[in-house]
Amino acid sequence: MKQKITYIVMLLLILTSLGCKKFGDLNVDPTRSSNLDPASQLMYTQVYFSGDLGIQERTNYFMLIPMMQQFAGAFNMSFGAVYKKTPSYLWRMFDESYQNDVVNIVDAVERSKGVANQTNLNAMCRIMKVYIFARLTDTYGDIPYFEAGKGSTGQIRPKFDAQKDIYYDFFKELGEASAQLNAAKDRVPNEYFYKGNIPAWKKFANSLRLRLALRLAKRDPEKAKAEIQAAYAAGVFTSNADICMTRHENVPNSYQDPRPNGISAAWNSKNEMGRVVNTFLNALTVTNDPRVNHLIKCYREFNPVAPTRFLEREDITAQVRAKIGLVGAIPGRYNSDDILSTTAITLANGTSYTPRSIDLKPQLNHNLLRNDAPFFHITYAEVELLLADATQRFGLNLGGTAQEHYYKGVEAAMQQLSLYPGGPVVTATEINNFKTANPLVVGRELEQINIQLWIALLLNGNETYANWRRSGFPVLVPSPTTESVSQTIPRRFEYPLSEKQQNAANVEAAIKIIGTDDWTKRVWWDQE
Amino acid sequence: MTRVFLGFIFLFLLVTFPKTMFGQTGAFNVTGIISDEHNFALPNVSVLNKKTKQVVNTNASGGYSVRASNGDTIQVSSVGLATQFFVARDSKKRVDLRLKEDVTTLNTVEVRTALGIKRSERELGYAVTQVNGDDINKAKETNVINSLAGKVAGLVITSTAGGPAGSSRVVLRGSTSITGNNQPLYVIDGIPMDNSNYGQVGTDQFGGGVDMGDAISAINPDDVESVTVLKGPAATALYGSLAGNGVILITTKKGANSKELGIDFNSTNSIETQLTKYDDVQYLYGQGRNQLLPVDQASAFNSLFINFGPRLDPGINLVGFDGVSRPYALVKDNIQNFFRTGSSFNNTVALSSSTDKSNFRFSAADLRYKDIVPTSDIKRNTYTFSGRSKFGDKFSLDVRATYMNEKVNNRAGLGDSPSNIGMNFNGLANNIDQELFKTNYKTAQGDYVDWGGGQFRINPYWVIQEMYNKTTKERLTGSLNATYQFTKSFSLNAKAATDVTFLDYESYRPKTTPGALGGQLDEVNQRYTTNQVEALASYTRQIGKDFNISARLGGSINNRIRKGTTSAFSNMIVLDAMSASSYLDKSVIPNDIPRTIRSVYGLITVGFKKYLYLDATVRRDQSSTLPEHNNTYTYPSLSTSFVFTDAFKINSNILSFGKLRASVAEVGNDTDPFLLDLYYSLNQLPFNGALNGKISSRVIPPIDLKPTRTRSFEIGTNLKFFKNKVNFDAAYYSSKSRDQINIVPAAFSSGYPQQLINAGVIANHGIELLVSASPLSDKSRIKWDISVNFARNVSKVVSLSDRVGEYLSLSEARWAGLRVVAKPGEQYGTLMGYDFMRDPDGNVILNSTNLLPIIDPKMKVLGKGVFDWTGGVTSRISYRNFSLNASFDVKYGADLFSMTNLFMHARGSATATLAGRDEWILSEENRLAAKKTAAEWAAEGKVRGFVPQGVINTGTAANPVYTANTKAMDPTLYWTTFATDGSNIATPFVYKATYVKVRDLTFTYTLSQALNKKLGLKGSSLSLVARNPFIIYKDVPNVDPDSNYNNSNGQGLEYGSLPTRRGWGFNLNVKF
Repeated sequence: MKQKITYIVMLLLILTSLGCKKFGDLNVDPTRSSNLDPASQLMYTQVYFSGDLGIQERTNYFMLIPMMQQFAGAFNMSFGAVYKKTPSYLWRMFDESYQNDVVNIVDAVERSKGVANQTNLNAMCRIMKVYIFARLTDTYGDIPYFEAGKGSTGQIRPKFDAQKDIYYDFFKELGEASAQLNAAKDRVPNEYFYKGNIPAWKKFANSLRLRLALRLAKRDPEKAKAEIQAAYAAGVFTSNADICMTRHENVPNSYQDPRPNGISAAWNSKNEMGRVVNTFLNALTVTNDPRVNHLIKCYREFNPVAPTRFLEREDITAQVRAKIGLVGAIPGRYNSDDILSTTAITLANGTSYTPRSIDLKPQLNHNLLRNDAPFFHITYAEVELLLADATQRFGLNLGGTAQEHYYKGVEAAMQQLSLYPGGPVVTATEINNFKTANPLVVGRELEQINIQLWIALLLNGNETYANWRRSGFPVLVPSPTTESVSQTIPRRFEYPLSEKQQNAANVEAAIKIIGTDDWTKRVWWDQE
Repeated sequence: MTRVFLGFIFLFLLVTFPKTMFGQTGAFNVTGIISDEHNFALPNVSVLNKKTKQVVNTNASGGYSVRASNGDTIQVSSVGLATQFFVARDSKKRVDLRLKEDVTTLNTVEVRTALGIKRSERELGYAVTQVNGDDINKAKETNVINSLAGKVAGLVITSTAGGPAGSSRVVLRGSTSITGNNQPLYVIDGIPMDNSNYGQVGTDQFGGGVDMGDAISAINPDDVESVTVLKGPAATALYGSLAGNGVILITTKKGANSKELGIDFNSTNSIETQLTKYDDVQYLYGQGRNQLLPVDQASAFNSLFINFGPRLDPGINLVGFDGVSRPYALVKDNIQNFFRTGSSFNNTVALSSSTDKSNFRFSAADLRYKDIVPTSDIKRNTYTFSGRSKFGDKFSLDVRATYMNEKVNNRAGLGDSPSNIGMNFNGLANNIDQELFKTNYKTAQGDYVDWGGGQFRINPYWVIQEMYNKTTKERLTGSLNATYQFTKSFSLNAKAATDVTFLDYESYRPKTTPGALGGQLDEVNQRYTTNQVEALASYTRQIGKDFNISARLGGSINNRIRKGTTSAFSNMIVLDAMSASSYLDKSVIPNDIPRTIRSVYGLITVGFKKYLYLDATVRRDQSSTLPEHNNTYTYPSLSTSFVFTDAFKINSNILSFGKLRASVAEVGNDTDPFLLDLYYSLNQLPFNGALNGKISSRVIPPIDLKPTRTRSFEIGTNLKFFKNKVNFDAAYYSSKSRDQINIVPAAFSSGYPQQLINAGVIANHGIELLVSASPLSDKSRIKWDISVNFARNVSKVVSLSDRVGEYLSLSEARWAGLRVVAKPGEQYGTLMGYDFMRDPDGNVILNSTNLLPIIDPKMKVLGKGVFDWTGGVTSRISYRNFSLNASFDVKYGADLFSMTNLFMHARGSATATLAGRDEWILSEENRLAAKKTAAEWAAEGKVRGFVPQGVINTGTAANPVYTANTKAMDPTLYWTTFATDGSNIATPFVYKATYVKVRDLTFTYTLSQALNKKLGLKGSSLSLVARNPFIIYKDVPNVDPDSNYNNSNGQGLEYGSLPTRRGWGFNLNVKF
């Protein structure tokens, strides 16, 4: 009996011990941080912006570069080339950007706000935040901005903000952030754009402000003028050394690894790469642009194409030019619709070779498409050409005449090609010859300036597309086919299904303002 | 690990069997044969020495041998037969008995219930179904759970397209959780088992990968004594939150033979072939687009998977994708010859022995499976030991240990995986033989050669010959179960169990593989540990003549830990060593995920006059994964059983037994660890010399979280007629789960793809019917047992949280514009997708210029992924020594969105794409002869070809007038429109997933006792077996309707499924 009682007591002890309330740190993940340095997040957004293959491939390679009639002809570029609406490509940037770069930069701004030894970091994060949101609003129009990326604080359904309000906040943020940067304060030595160089960041903020100000040139000219002048006064880029870029790494790309250049990887991994469209080719040849020789190449393609060895293809541009000249892709046509042929040529090793149609179609110099190609966020060339536009358009005094800014812009654009590893070097003679032959022509100044922007912004599809919409130049003739969903060049991207499902009321309110959520509608600043 | 395991067994044997090993005095063996009234040998009759409590079962030929001393009473009993007794005398060591049928005893079938408590079925207020091990160990499945398909009412088993090494989805009585786990808990000999999926194919967009199997597949079918399915929460309330979806109790075999060592050898060997083949394929047209041949190598390359060329013609020579010229001739079955004939060898040896104090059983099993996909195979060894020993009168100890070692090579890539062979060959041009890719898949330098599949479809020969994946699983389980019987009415039981699985997965992609151009090695190294300790005090007492009361009080701690690393090594530098050290970039992400549930529970059972029973339970769980203030939840259950035939003394020849039962119960549930806080982590690959980092939480942490509650109600009856020849069981149940803890999508603009909330109510109700009968007369030499089951379950989503949109995606095929959702007011698992734009009469509206169907931009309900009803038939016919068993599995009414069929249409392989092709070719020839442009030809109304069915708006947009279309078009353009990225019209490819399958078929010859004796055997049988031999009926062409690519809640999607497998072979069972 005594034993029995002992056992019962033991059992009761076990049972009561089960009832204790605390589990301690059992539900706290020991392998992850609760308080990571916001600089890490800033850096993540810097590499992600151009390194995400998903966004770059869908938005840039499939859609915008062919839509802007720079390169196309490949079946995989037909979505933008002939306006084949493929919703998932239109949605990709929205879906990916918010849950990757937006959420992190919003969090980094919040967590560094008011922290004594993070004032420069906070300023950089604010600038980066504007830059990230600018790409989104320029593409989609009204978007969640003020409440976006704050899910962890309970803001699960952000409302959509008017693009005007977003832009006005951009200017405020850039102005304040530029002023907040102080070389005597905290250092952010590892960030990828400028290695913590504070004056360079100031110029970046002001140059970005200039770019965004020009967007409003037609819709809100007074605000545009004020912001252009403020940005210029605060100091913008003054040479190619100021260019804001991400120096990507030479590793093969996958959707998970943002280290290589996303647009390069999207392009060079295709077995049928894009070919130069006649619109772009003609723009170069008509002005005797020296870049036609540096950018447009014919390669002896592998059989079949081996993506990892694309840099080993033999350059047969000279032989092909001698035989049939440069025959670009016709807007709205596939390479396979337009079979080229020629007689045999002599290869570098002396053997004879009859090029196939795929060898004869000229394409982009593959050194611009290396995985370690830098991605240019804002270039000095763009800044000068924007100053030229502003000077011409508004008669503002921005340190020179439109012609002077235009020449500087063109020269910088030609010189920046050498920043690509193995990239072409355009000689001073070539540049001077071009300038002499192509001064601004009265009545065509804005067209000339913006055609130069169209060329200088190559490989940055979002920016090319935005500048084309705001300036109207170059004048592109739409190229629809029976496969087309739109007969005209689309003006914006449609909101994603995910948002319509999870944030229905807010997205519907935003759609009401533009009428229907269609890609032929215009964003607020895109004035006819 | 093997050594530890064997040492452990040896130690146990030494402690518990000293006497067995070194002889025993004073006792002798009583042997004999037990048969029925017709002198048929009766297997599985229990022979009990009432003195020593030793129990043995008769073997297949009715033989037994029990240890006894002079004067011991021996009890011989079997379900449905009158129990007999005799007294052992050493003068008469052989006792043969004939048992008579007994109506009264049949009604006391014992089943195992929660906590392993054996109870008479008549006492239970809820439904249980028991399946005998013998019914599943002949035509063996590699995953034992698949053997239950069709055998239990309301148990729906779906195996994935992952094949025999993959996991299975098992659902009882429908889904109770919207996004969480809906699979039952497995309890092996009283120990709950973590049936984690070790990884499966993604459920979201771009879901792809391999299915790494589940834990239940580690059970050797030959070790299974019986499987008991406890269906409703009332049956499982005592197992707590883990058992919210029902419990499958597996009882393994124990040593129950004779003192001598019994040896049982069971072997099943079969060949494996394709059960399903492409059966809806056109063989008239080959490669090309728009009825034109490819013009050069580049266009041949781009049209390798397009069958919209001209009519096949062996006279034409065509420059191929590789530059080689070949005849444009039909290569029939050009895809399926990729697969080989597989094989399966499954052998088990079991040793067992018992004495009056102890028994043990040891089994060793070896499984070797060669899949129909070349280079895919499984090797599995399982060693199981179980022993029981009594020390003195009061203390007994049960020990069980299992060691399993499994190696799987080359699990198939599924779903969206670029290495999914089933997808990659889809649409291969009729004039191209898959053999061509066997040799030309790489260059002289060893680089991958693009074969026209691009980045997302890798050449299958590269997949099987250059890439590889290997999985090694080592699993060790052990349990100790001690009982101390203080008095006749009071006992204490304590259990301790551990279950450790080491999983190592390695997947290698050589340099130049699309998606891993620099070469990639992915490794997953995980340890899954479950430890459980449990104590249970039991008290039983008879009060007066009429009342029997028992009370139990227990507590347990369940710890589950998952710890390990997930690594990715990319950019291979050393090409001949496939090891982490050969790579430039290394990313190793550790994880360490513990969770604990502490529980206390109690059970009171009251029985009145053996015809009225009442059970009440209560359990309190405390979970480490919930917020501290909400982490404890208590829930009760009540059930009752009333045997009215006994209460009202009904004893007719028609109704022999009748019982009514009813129960109500509630169960609570928790969530996964680490979801309550926000976490950051560094990305592993440095960029420009420095590491960056980000928020690593993908789920918005909840503001407040409560445990989920499921409340259920069940009534049922069990009736037996004609002296128990017909057994009828029916149940109706309903359940409602509220405060569901769900990980649901969030608006991406919030920064997170998902959020964790208490959201929604899901309700299930349904009926289950079971009829079993032995229709032939007792005098007949032929015996026939047939059992039919039927279950209908309706899962309805009652509401979702206001933090969720209109519906909740469970699984997506988003690039194909279809998803499986939970939508309030609809059945759980509804398929939502894009339909044709239709006029008010429901006709398809066509675009008036290009005649293509217009897509309705609003997503619609196109079907549902769950079945209306399921059922099964099992039949056993025996005559003398022959028996034939068959089981049929019937599922009715679910829908399946078949992307295999979608692509077969878009690529011109399906027979439906034949319409209008000849006319189009003629029309184009005439047009070219007339030197007209396409536009002119159309304007003249001369286009012939495919006439899309539908109407055209001949009115205005505001006032539409719909006229039936009569115009023709190019069939290529029509069919390719169904495969655009993002939003396809899905309607034509939603098929009924209804099927009738023969699951297994065994024809057995059991050797007569005399013959066995001559051969020196105790028993033996030889069977011809077939697993999944036929699909009697199905609606979906080309694929098996059972082809989901994962076992998640989002069922109803099929994408590039591999053929399912059929096995033919034999089984040999010999007992020494």
